[in-house]
Amino acid sequence: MKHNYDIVIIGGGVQGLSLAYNLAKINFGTIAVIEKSYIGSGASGRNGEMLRSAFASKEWIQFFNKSMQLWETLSSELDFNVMYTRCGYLVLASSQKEFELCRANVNTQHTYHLKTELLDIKSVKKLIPALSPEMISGGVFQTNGGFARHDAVVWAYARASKRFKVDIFPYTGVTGIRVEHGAVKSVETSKGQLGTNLVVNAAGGHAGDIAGMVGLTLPSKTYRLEMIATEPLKPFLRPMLASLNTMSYMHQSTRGEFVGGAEIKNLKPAKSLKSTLVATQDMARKFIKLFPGLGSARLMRQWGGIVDMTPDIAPVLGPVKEIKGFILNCGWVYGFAGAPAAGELLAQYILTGKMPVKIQPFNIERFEKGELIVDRSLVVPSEAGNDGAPL
Amino acid sequence: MSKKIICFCHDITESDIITAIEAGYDDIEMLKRFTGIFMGPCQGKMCMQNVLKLFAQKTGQSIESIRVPTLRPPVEPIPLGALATETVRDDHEA
Amino acid sequence: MMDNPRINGHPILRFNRGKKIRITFNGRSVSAYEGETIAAALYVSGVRIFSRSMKYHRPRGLFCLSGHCSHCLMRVNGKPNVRVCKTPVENGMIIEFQNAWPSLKFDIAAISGKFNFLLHPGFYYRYFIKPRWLYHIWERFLRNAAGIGKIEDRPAPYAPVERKQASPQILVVGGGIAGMNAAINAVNKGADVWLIEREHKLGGRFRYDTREVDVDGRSGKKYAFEIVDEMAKKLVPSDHLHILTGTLAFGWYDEGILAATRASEFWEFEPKCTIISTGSYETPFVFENNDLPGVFLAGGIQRLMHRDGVLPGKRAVVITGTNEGYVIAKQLHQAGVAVAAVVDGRNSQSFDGCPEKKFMVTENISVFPHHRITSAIGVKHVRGAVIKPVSVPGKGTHATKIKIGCDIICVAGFRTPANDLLFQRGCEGTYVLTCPDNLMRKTKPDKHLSVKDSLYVAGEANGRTSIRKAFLEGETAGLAAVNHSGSADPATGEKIQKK
Repeated sequence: MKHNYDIVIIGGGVQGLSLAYNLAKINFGTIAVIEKSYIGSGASGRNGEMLRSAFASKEWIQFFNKSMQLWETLSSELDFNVMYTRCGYLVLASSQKEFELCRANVNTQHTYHLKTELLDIKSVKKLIPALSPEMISGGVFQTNGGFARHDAVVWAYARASKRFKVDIFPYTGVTGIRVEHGAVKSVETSKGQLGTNLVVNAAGGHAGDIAGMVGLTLPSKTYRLEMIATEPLKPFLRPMLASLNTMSYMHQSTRGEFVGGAEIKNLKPAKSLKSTLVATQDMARKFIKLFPGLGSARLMRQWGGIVDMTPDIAPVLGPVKEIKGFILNCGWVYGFAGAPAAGELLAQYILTGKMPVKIQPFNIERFEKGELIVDRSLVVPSEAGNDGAPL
Repeated sequence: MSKKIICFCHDITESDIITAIEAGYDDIEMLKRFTGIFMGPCQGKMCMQNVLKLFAQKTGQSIESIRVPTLRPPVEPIPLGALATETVRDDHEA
Repeated sequence: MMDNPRINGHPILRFNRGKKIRITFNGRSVSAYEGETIAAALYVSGVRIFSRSMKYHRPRGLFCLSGHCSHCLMRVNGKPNVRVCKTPVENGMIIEFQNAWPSLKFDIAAISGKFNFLLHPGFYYRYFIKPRWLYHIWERFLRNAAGIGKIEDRPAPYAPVERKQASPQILVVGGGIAGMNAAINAVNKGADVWLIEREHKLGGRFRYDTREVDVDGRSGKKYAFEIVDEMAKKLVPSDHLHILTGTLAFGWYDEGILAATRASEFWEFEPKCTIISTGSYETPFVFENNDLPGVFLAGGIQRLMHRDGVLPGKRAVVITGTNEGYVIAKQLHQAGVAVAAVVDGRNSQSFDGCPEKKFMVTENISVFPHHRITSAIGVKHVRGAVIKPVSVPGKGTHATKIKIGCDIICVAGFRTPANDLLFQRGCEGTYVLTCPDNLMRKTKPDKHLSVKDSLYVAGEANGRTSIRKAFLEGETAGLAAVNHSGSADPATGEKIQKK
């Protein structure tokens, strides 16, 4: 551990590591990543691996499209196979209303030159024969959607960062951040003090705690999202699938496990990683509703992960006016998909001071201005109702 | 030499574990994710003891110092149909 | 292959077989007895390979017969990944193999075993980086080769399961020796007790054991299964005792609820006090070809012989590191299996001090103290075992290997507590080596067997290895739980609340 670093990134998940790598690549200076457990132990190691840019708002589409382009070449960029699989991504409509929403979303996507298709009932049935016919009213299909192995992505970024001499400190907790005259001075950790003028809060579900160390209250809350995986089955679901009707998302891993998550309607903030009975029963009902054949598939394992969720489910990126040198890279719910773009664009901002257009909308000021980003294609419920939940 | 299977669910051999540890996956959580041990249908019932003994031996850690990971439901694989109850706890509508 | 693998004329056990029914296996009609497991019926009909492993398609046979491993997964009435070792047959049942083509005996995909340099963990992280399309092709290939069972293609219409709830004063999870004794003692002290057991009969693994033991030092030696029967008879359902068999407690959820599944019911328990007496998992041994059909865990072989009344084979080699190996060797012999050898990793003093020594000597069973197994011989089934002396550090390794012909290798002795539910609840614990070879994951109960809050553990779930200790701990935990949670005054029936 050095005494001083040009930048200290708090959080060794996919966001923190992507940023570290991108900063190191452009010769930013000395970089430290502090992680309180093992790298990728948070949401980065627990997410559904869903990758798409077929969203409904300009902000989400443009940002995630950039990320999707980076996903395509990430393995060769990092010289480690992240197992990016381009299996396609379907957002499923199960009612006429949802289908009309999908139609509107496709129109928006085409405005921003996304190659997505509006599928009718017949096409969806052909794409995923195992889906219950009662749940099919059509959907939006993105050919270049897919998934990547989340652990591989974390290891890939970590290895690539280390090659560029980034210092990564797992099992190191941040105990305080010293601020003097409104500017960051150092980070206190369980293994020593790091002098720095630049700190990035990439602490995922713990971002609120880190912000609290500099006296900031984030506009986000910590929520627990839950997922399940079944015993391996022969392939029956090729593309990634998000269901608007059931607010769920799922895919079938290369090993054959059906892996999916869904949130209950009145999701309340929680920091525990333990699975709940209410969510387990809810997910079982939803997945059987979508795939009746899954009634006899066995739940093999389940887990929870915490995310730092803002009222509009969009991330918070950029500086805060109250503290010089304190940068936010949090509020992520779709953080896995967004990591390649966030890392590159935020690194550009940190080096040049100029905020790239694609991440500008995700500034923290939007909350006090009341300029929440509305995106009606998300399958995670938001308190502000800015999601794709059944209308 | 014929295979010595340490993880029956995913066909992971003793030498696979040794190779992974020597390649730097010497934290039990990382080893688990890299190899897939403990994540198959038996959820570690048949392999935990042998993997951990080997892990301790190869990394030089004592058995007692290996942290017991969080265990989660289910203890055994349960059909989703057996979990899909008529109502959900707290009567939330799914 | 044996002509008639069904055991008739066991010196101790009598098998009551139900009426004859018929099932089909891969289109072939198979005779079975109502009430027996699918595994037993298929084994009798000559099936030895029950599945093919996920990656290398290695042949797998019956192994644990307890639903813990994944060796016997088959498709039953269209449903995938059914553990046939614990599923009873029903007339007309349709059973099919999974994950093999064209058959379990001759699976073409087994050739992948020759290419393990392409399939070992992590291979794909270093390769297939460029060109990208190569990984896409590889991924498609892996995806089609992976998975075990096929999703049900004509599922019955969704019928939601009934939710049931209970808030017992004392919930005993696991109806083996320890659990039954906990329940007996707790009920005797006036408590309201719910006893849940995953199998359809109480008793746990000692229901299938013919060892003789004086379980409490007063009752004299009885067979383990008789002790189980006597205890089960004492547990008569009443207002104060609810017994649910066929009920698997599988998860402690964040709401503080213990969830269990039972046929078409979903049980949510919020107990005041819980005793975890869920037994243990057997530990396989690691040696070359240790997954060949014909390699059994001791508890598995006991179930096949004593529950199903089926002879596992003709000639067995028992591999052990505890006295359990000798106990199981005796039981194999009594069932009619020739025991070629007991291979004990401990030195000869352990054998000298073992209660079964006289039996081994009288029946002329070869014992190899301070020896280990190096490999199982065979391609699709065990044909023999290779053993060699345990090498002593500092002394040379020019040990002579010995080949022993056999068709069964029985692994006996090491177990680890099945205390998952305690760890799900956040109890602390550690891994310990109880002897040089046996690793256990243990919690740290106090002298009253309380682990934390109102949670108790007893018997093999607490790392105990003997039936006597399990019996004693059941009593201790039962009484401690009553004390903790309050009990009813036997005279008035009114609750006495603990202050």
